[in-house]
Amino acid sequence: MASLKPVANPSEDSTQVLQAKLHGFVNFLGDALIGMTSLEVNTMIVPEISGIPFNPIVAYRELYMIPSQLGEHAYFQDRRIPKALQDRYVRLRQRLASDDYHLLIGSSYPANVSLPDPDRDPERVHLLLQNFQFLHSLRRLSELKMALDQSSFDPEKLDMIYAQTSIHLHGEVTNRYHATVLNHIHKDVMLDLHHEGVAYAEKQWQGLLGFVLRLVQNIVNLPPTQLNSAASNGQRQSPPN
Amino acid sequence: MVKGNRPLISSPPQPKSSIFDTFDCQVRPQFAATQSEFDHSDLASKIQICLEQGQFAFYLHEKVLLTIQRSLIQPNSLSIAPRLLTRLQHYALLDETGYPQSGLTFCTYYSDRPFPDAQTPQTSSLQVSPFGDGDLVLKSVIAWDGNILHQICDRYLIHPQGRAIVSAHHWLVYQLLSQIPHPIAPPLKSLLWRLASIVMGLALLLCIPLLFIFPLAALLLIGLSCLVLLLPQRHRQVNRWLWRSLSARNPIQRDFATWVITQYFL
Repeated sequence: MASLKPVANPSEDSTQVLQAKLHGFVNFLGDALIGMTSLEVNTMIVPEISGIPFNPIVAYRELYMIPSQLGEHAYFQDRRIPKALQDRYVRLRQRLASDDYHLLIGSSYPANVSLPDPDRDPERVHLLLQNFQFLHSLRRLSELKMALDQSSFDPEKLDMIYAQTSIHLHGEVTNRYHATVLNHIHKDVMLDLHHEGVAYAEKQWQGLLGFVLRLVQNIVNLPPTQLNSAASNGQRQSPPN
Repeated sequence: MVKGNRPLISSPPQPKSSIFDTFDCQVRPQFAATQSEFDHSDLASKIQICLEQGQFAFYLHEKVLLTIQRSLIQPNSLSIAPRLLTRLQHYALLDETGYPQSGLTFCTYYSDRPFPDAQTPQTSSLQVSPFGDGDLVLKSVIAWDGNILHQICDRYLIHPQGRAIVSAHHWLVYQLLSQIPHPIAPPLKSLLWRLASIVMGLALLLCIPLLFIFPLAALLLIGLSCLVLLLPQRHRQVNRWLWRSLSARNPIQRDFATWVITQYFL
């Protein structure tokens, strides 16, 4: 099957690659199901949306290249990134290294270990990208970076998550709004658009979750009735202990 | 819907061969009467959904927006091309590069005038859509752990069609996601039947010459091969054994299990 062909290093033993992939995928499913504690809808208002498809390796490389400290770096000069934005780039890079990476490598590595270099250590990058937590965090940071790249460099018009709604498993709903939204001239439109997204989110996610749950059910071969009810209840299950 | 021995998730249909793939989807009216209404009105009942390197793209213009707005009032549904659903099934799990899916991406483009019909895929240029220009108004990334990120273009906050575009986008995403075909049960039982019949066939073939030389051995062979026939009845145990074998010490057992599982389950 084409998707399971080795990506990083074609010369590697194919069975090992298959195995790593499969193990990764099963772990990935497990991690994702455990991490599912809330439905979170984020809305960003941006001057320009990037339509470039997400590629984990490219995204990792692009974030890795950002300097992890502020200062005179060729990176900022080459890309003509104004001073006002530099710290936002640096923060993205720091979040990549801190968010999940240290949790992930936790016990087996010293605490100050840095992110693997995609050119020198492609194998470790490959392994890292098989981890759900890390991949998810990378995706999010990459979307933020793309929005930052596309922004008009107007500090007043910076991209950011304007509104966030979390619906927790135990039924609690949290809304967070950025201060700029509440003073914005199009405040009502922004909030309406966000709430429309929230209203649809539950239905949209249910379709996707139902599919994944059924796949897991097939893998472990549980009696269908147990998971069917879970799939149709969506996130309205009993809270996790 | 799906035949017995099809892989659980169909293999990705060579993503590199064409960069832009378009699929025609039909708005299916809930009531028969409205079908003729579609046929006689200037509403577009056909919506083209584009698959661009693992991203789903909707190209909207006024006519399509009107159709979708009507669908929101009368609960019409979208009849999605089966080919698109198969790809959706694949992308729900793995992304274009074969890594686990970090979030399904849906983009909505809008243009005031209708998009020209899709040309033949342009393999030379990666960034040019066959539909030409249009503003990317809304992009949604939906991950199956429940994290959703919507990006909205700020110009469309004040655009007269802004609200309609956002509603149409959410409706289309909902239609796609609610129609992902469920993965079929593992076709292990039929696979085991096939294996058993092959083993029996081979045993019978071997038996004929053996009967003349060592009749006892031939009977023993037949007896042993009959045991294989028990396997299909025990498919649940076999399934469990396969998954357990993934962590077995014996490398041959481990490789065998990996091979079977990747071939038939993923």
